Amino acid sequence: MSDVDRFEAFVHRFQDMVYATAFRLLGRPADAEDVAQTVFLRAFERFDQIGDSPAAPGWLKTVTTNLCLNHLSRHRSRWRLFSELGRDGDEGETTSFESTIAAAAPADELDKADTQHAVEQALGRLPEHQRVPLVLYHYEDKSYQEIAGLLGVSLGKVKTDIHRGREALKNYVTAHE
Amino acid sequence: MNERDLEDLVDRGLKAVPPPRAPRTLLPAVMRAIRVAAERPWYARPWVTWPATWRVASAMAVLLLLAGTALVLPAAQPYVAPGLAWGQEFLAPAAHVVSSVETLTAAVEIASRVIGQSVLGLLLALFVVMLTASVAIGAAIGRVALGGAYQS
Repeated sequence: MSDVDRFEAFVHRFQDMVYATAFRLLGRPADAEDVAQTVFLRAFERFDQIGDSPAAPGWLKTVTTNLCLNHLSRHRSRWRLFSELGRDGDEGETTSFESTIAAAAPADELDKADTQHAVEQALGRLPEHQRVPLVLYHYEDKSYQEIAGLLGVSLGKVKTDIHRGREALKNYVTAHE
Repeated sequence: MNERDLEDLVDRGLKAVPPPRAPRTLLPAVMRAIRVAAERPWYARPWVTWPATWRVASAMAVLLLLAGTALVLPAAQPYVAPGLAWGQEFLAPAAHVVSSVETLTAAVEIASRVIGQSVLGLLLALFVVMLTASVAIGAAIGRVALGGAYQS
């Protein structure tokens, strides 16, 4: 089996994991596919070292996460416009954006598959400043401190944003409980 | 609902969602990009993938360029010195070569300073340059004339 064939098998094996990580962080399929492609191009440059290594999945996830965060920081000015449109200033208030998510579907009327799809869509529609730390915490098993370091924000902001993200998703996940 | 219960609830709910599958277009796009990259010559690929010999040679060339810059632009020396220091550390196995380069550049710098500060030195340098140019031009003319004479 040639190196290219081996690499093709490597991509086939890990593409879902890489794409899922990117999609959850970025919330947009096209951007997630672009990042995933870049990740595998970098993996090809180091295929001699990581091809058969048990550390390959961890390496791929780390590179994917870093590329996604770089992508988001480059486009932050655009995303900040959308996130600040619905951002509240005081504790306890529900943002207009979160209200829109909560009102979008009566979650208790959906079956299991629909509920899971609704949760996935609700996650993707969260503002970036809530979705990214939420994904890093629940899917990437990062601590609050690690997330604050990765995003360059305070620990308090991470906790607040994660809490608000959870509140926004609560209605969707309770339908499956 | 307290924060811990909310965290557990959302965690269960999120992990119950099946991970999204990669689009069918991803694998072909990656392999296409790989094949395009593989067709590029080695020097058009990222530096980290170059053969070790060429990486050392290119790093040495950069060091020499920095040393030359330090000669030509004395004002740049404070900025170049850290780079030279890094280069020394990076190329420790070839430290003796770097040391020789430093010695040579220091000697050239001293010589240029001495010559440059001397009016006679400037005139001497001008004379040498003109003499060299004259010899070169004369040789070229002679080759054409004599070469034409032999061929005729």
